[in-house]
Amino acid sequence: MLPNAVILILQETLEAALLIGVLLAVSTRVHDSKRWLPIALISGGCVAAILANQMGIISEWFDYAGQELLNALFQTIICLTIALAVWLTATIDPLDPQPGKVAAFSHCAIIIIFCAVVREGQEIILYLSGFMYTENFQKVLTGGALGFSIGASIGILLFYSLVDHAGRERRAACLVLLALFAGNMLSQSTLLLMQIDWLTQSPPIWNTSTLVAETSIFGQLLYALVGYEATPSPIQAAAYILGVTLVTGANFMPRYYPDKKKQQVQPVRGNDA
Amino acid sequence: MNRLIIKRILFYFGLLLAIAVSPISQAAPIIKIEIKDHLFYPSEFSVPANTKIKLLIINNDPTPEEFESYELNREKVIIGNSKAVIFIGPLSPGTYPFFGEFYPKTAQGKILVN
Repeated sequence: MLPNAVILILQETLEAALLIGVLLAVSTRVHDSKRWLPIALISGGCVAAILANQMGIISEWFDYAGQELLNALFQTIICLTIALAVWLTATIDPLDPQPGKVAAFSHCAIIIIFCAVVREGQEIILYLSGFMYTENFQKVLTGGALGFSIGASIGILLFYSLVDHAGRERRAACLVLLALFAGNMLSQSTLLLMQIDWLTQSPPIWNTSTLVAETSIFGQLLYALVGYEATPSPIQAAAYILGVTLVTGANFMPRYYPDKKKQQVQPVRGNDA
Repeated sequence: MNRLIIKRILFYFGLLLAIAVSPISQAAPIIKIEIKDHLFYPSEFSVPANTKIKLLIINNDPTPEEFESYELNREKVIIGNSKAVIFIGPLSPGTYPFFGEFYPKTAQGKILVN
């Protein structure tokens, strides 16, 4: 019972922990207060508990498609908000951060982590609730705490390895990770829509299960980090590319279309000098 | 200019979603699976290849269970004493194992596609 609890809670925690690690590294660059983290964790945990409690009713929505639709909605929100957060950070000057944009980034971070915690939290609560009145509850709780600690440690490790690098390298690494996260979220949401037959399933475009099995530790880590799927369908791959493109485009857009207000202000400053 | 590009991106995203989403479900053969004492009944069954199947999973246990299959790319929590619907396929011939993630030692099964 204990190893299963460790693995299950680790799987559920890892995704949110990695996302928090990257967002914390980004927020260090834009000199954000990081108050968004406890707000997102607490509110996400509370909503996860409410949704877990009401999951029986939610599951029956839209002819037993409620659970998938809700999770797909959260995943799409995560993807779009990551793109918005990346666009904001690309327009923030680290040497002179505009308070309005930094505050907007904090709001994006709250939405992203809130959705991630709600999504994974409800499953953890449902899992633990199944053992609540059994003799195994303490064992499961210990295993869960262990899995949670490992997941959180990996997130912390990612944060420190990111902030350890110089500005440009860190920015590039954060962008790549956030783009892959966004792609993963959108790809997973299409999978959920296929599960309820709102999207048509088609044969996988490749099968790499013999190369890297999804059940292996490496496969699990790849899944959490880059959304690895051994047998993805064309729609999943298209959604993945769309998510990655959205975030990458959001990062490079300010470079080609700079802020007009900023451009107008700069010559005035020049004249004053 | 920025707004125009964002509008264009959102338009094409919406268009893609509208094309991909098919709200009307086609009738698919239904296979009923029951969960009792953290075991699947039937734990093994056959389905035809290249056919969409509707799995109706009834959890008779008071505790929740998660139907999961890496091979089918499916994952769904089923609350205690409730039922859930999962669509699978069209699948190519082969064996597709599934398990209950909350009780993986006992809740095991496989779908034979032929």
